[in-house]
Amino acid sequence: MPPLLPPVDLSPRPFAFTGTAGEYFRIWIVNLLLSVVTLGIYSAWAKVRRLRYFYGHTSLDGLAFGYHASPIAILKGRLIAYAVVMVLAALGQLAPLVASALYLPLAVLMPIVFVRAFRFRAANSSYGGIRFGFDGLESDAYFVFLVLPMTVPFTLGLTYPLVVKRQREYFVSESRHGRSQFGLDLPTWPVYRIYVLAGVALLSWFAVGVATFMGAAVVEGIGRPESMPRPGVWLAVALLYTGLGVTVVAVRTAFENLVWNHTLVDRHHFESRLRAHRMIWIYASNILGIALTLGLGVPWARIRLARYRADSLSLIPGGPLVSTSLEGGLDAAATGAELSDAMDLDFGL
Amino acid sequence: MTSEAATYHDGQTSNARPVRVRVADGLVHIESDDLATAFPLAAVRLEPRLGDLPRRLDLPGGASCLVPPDFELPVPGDAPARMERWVNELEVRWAPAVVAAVALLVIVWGSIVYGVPAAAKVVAQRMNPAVERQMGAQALATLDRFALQPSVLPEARRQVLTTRFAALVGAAAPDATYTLQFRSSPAIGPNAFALPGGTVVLLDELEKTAQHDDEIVAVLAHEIGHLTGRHTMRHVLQTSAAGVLVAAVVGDVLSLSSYAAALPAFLLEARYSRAFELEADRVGFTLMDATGVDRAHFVRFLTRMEKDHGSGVPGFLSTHPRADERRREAER
Repeated sequence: MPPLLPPVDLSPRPFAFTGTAGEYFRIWIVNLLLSVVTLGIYSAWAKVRRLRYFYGHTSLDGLAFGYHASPIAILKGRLIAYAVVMVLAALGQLAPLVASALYLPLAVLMPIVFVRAFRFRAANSSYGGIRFGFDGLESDAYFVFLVLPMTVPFTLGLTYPLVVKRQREYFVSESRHGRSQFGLDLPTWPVYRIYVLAGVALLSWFAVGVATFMGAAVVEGIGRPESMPRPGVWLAVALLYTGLGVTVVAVRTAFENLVWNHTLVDRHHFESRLRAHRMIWIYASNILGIALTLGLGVPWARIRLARYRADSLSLIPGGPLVSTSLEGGLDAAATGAELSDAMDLDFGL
Repeated sequence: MTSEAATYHDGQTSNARPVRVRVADGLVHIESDDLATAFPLAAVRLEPRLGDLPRRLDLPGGASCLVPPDFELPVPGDAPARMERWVNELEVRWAPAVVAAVALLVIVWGSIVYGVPAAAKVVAQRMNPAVERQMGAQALATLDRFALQPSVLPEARRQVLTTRFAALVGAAAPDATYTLQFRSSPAIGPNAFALPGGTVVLLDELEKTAQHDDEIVAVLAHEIGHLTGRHTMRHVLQTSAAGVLVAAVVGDVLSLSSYAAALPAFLLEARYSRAFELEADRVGFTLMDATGVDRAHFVRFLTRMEKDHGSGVPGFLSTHPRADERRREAER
């Protein structure tokens, strides 16, 4: 008798990225020019086209991701953000005291803005025709993004890795794909290990850089007429930049691997195999390429980073790979209402 | 229009099934062996075309179809949709991309060379002078701590130079409260510099290197040129504005690609700095003319400095113009 259900294929499913630098260059340059000549208005459309390109070219198990945001909603969010910045800048000139008094309520609003941004990004993303969602509560966001970070200065930074861990856990664990809930429970020690190693590396590197800089600053001065070459200052700045850049990339890579390798969705796991030296090489050559092409290499840089990220990520199935939407297909309509108060902003999380 | 190669997602599970999408009688028909459904054209929305990506056809109730990029609905679409169709036509060909690249390079270059300096000049002139005075006081305190020592010039000598300085200030900006400070620094060598807010620092080493008092006065006139032009403030404004501009084009300000913006920022800073030096030279020359100091003294001093401490930095990296260029300016 044949089995009732076909056997479940539990082999790892690699992510794939199929975008190409040439095609994306044309999209990027045309959209950038339109953004500039419309004084930023068009940039909302440019952003949607950019994210649609990257989501649409990322696939898993033969199904693509999708980005669905309406440019008008993004434009609205940006106009609000610009208005706030402009008002603060103007007030800072005319009435500095009033302006500084306004920063406090702004800081208090930040967690709400974060939650809205997460919600917007998730509700406008899909995989296999099913939308993602973010259900994080504002009250939890206050704790994670406002209360916890306040402990950092009082503990001389010792709680910083813990704060980063909690923030990422909140972000991932409150996300879902349709009905499938994401879960993330990061182990404490490996997170600390990343930051301790980075701290030690950075401190020793800074010692070298600061010594060079002090030496150079004393010898060279800031004066005029110019009487001496400045290679010492250049060397010191280059050293500091390189050390900082290498450390930041290494920390990000290690943390990204750690997060993916502890993320669950339904019964599925992920495996992220990013290598720090490869990431550092990609970033370094990207920076060089962008500089040598006067910025025209940006699309190529983005594409090869996206390709390496996708090539290094697989999903390890823990059962059949089928997701279902929340409330049987109604969530696209349901999120429409909550989108009206969602804001689109980019955060480096 | 009909597409045989479409994929249907019912919006309830992530399963994909191949379907045929057909438009007839104002309806969009979705058909396969075990599925046949239709929606009015007005109830569906077709995603704008983007590269070779399949386009999503949103159907009522959360279902959607992925159709090939060349699939079109027989409706004109609203204004944003028509705009994106036009954008797509530009995106798929190389000629518009090349034109856009050239246009962008020209726009960015133009703003950096003309736009940003002009804007910085206007802003700096409206800035509260107290800000500059504080910047200058802090800079001098830091320099005193790390690089400068008290001057050993005798009081009488200082008096002579201070009087000459006052004459220059009188010619440049009679209401200004510029002051001359004396310091020494064997490490820095023969040098003088202008600090924002109205302080000129003269190092003993420069006083010793100069072979004529008018050479010192010529250097002081140049430094006063930096003060009247509010060069430090403009320099800070220009460099940060140009940095933001470059970062906005080159990459997301928050991401690592802003490191790539650091390199052009170095070059920009050097370029801006050279422009300020030439501007200070020009002001200095008019002050020398007004107080009866021969411009040749400035040229002589610069030439001696370049011979003794020749700069090995190539011109485009240097913060100061070449002496021969400054000499030509003096002779004009």
